[in-house]
Amino acid sequence: MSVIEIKNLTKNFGNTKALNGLSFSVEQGSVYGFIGPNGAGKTTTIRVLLGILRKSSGEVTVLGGDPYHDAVELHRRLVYVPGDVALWPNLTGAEVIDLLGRLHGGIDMAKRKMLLERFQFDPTKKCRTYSKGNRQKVALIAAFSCEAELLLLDEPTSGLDPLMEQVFQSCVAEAKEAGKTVLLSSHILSQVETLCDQIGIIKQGVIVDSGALADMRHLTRIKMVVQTINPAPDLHKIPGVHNAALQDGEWHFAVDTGAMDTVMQFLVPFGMKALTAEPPTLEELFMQHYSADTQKEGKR
Amino acid sequence: MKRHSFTGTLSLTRLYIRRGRWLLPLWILLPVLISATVVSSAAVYQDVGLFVEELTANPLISSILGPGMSHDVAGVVVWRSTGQIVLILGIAMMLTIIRHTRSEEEAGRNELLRAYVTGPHASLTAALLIACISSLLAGLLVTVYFISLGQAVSSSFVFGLMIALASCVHAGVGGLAAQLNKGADKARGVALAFAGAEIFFLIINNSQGSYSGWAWLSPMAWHRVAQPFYGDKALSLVFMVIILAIPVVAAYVLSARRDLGEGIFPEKSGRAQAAAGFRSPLALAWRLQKGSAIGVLVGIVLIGGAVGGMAQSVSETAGIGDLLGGIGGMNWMAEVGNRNAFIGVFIYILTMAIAAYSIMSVLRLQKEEYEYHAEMILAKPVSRTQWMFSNLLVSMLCVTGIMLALGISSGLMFGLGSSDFGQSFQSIWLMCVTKIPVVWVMAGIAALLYGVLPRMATILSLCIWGVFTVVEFLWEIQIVSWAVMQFTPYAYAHYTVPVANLPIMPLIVLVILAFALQALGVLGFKKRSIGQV
Repeated sequence: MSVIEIKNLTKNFGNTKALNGLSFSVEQGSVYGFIGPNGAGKTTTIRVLLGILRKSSGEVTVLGGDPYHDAVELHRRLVYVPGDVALWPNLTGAEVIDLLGRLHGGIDMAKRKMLLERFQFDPTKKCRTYSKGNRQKVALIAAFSCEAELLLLDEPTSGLDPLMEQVFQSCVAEAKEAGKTVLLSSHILSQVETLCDQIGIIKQGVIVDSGALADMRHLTRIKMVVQTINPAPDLHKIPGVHNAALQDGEWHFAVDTGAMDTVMQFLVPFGMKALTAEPPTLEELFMQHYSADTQKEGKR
Repeated sequence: MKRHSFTGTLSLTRLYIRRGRWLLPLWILLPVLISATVVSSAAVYQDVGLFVEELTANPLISSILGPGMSHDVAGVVVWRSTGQIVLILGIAMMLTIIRHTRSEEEAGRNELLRAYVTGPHASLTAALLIACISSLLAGLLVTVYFISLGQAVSSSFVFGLMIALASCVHAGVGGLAAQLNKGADKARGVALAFAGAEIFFLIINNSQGSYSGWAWLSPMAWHRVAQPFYGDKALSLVFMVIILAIPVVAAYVLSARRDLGEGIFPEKSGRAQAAAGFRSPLALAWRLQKGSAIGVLVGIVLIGGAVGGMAQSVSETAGIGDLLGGIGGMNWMAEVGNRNAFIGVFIYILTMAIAAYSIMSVLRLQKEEYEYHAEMILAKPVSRTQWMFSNLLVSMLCVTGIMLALGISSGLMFGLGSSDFGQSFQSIWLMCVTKIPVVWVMAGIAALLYGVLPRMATILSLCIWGVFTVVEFLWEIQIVSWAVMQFTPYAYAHYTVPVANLPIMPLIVLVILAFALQALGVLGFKKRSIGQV
């Protein structure tokens, strides 16, 4: 069952098209990584999902309801962490956490206490004194101490230190174990790679690639470095091999996943001395979409 | 203070001029515009001397403005407008300084600038520079204007410089207020408290005749000290410069003793757990508005009490000139009575100020939205209606409370000095109660604009408030008729009508109108996207 279902969503701000026919869905119990460069439309999408922005056209369903018309009912079942948390300067962190929790319909005090400790957060200070990372902690603690089926996290860890990033990741992992659904917008790709089952790459208001990371990897090339006992000539002539170069007796090349067998058959007769094969990282997938686009722009 | 403390001041001055390019010219022109308006209204009368004499003989006018000064056009401007000019210009200068110093620090932008080659005092100095230069220009324009009218050059300079110095003192106070606390809202609170105090001292000064030592405490009353076109006490200007130095030096001393972004008073830690009742948008709205509402309440109560207490010294039997008593063809002062008229006019003026406060209070909604606070609440199971309504309810209750408190304080002080406490108290109290629907309508206008045209809401609401205020002024000087005046809500609880005779129906209509405007505002808000789009 899809917890979030988006079809052909568009959102215009005056003449600017922020979302341009965006489609994706998030299955129940999964962690969906929503990645893309700044200004691609991640935050706009999440705000449409919250019912704070009205869509221009398209279909959007959240937890079976319409995010704009059923906002109040839906918000009982979801929590949200913005990427740039703005807090009331004269309230303390604790007051904000408690207010948000109570508005949600109740706060789990034991969980709140545990989260305060895990995030090493002093909630007695006035919000105007908190740093960026600490404001982010307020929103994270408020969100994780509420009971919710769906977590909408919009670059939730910007400003957090690496230790706190770890705490955040374990909180998301626990939420997933408890069967909750998470939409995680991020441009920290290692975070997405660790946490997410499904990934959507958004570019200029459309999803340009999506699926499980493993599936997406199949569509791309594997980087290989091979050293053979006898010199292997003409490797670069095999179909499916790209960017092959011979350096210090080692072949460096990228190979299409479909051509792997041919390459191995070709190499074996020369005798294998050393071989490394690296699947593409998410970063490379990301850069592939990104640079394809910059090339296009370069041609204009 | 080392020289490099001021590095970058000129660049920052240019930045602040750029940021204030719309507002600063307005403030610079304001005093000359107000002066010209008064001059043109006085010009209606062929014999200005008689006009002034008649006005000052009026016990109502002389109690509000103090006795007249020189009996010519210039004297009328000095006597009638100095307080007004200094108050508006002064508040503008205080807010300008705070905007460029404390607000910038709070937003973290000053940190960015300081990381470049900018000295620790550059920001304060640049802000003071533009405020003082603007004040000086504003004063010089007044000087030039009066010289062009054929007034004595030296007197014109005394008046212009007096206006400039009074305005500069406010700039200094703004700079000082900005040093105290971490939050810009607290600095603005201090600034407004200063404005309240000078009104208070002005009233006390006027109650004791033309000049008492109290005048020194209120820059709004400095024309009593410098006496332009009357005695031309040019030496007093030197003392004003010395007074000006006090807040400025204090601001620099405190600025040098604190860290960037911090205040002199450290930010205290607060609750480790929210209070049990802090669980609704209503509780949040009250929490956010409480401070300013209590501040305004205290100020209004003090001013209302002072006015009520003074009213007994207004002669009830003195003859009233036809000129003012006959405004709009009504013999209103005879009907209302001098003392009630005196309090009535003051309550009327305070109501206009409270109406402005009610607009700003409603427009906190916009601030909450644009600062992304609304988003945090609306991402919870809170409907848009509930969120907006909670804020409106708090605004309405606050202004209602303030009006009632004004009625109690002025009524009490007036009643205590009168022979018939019950009767006196009731008439004053009712003056305030009948103005509550008027203030609600002004809040309703702001709510409607916020719901439907959020980006224009502030400017449009304040323009509408300004137009209503100007219409009243134009009606007073008989340029527009009552027919025009009736388009403003103020007309339905006007000071010229004895409060016991006010028709009740229009007030009920105003209440309904206020609720209708707010409901429309909520409807508009439900239909639009949220955020700065």
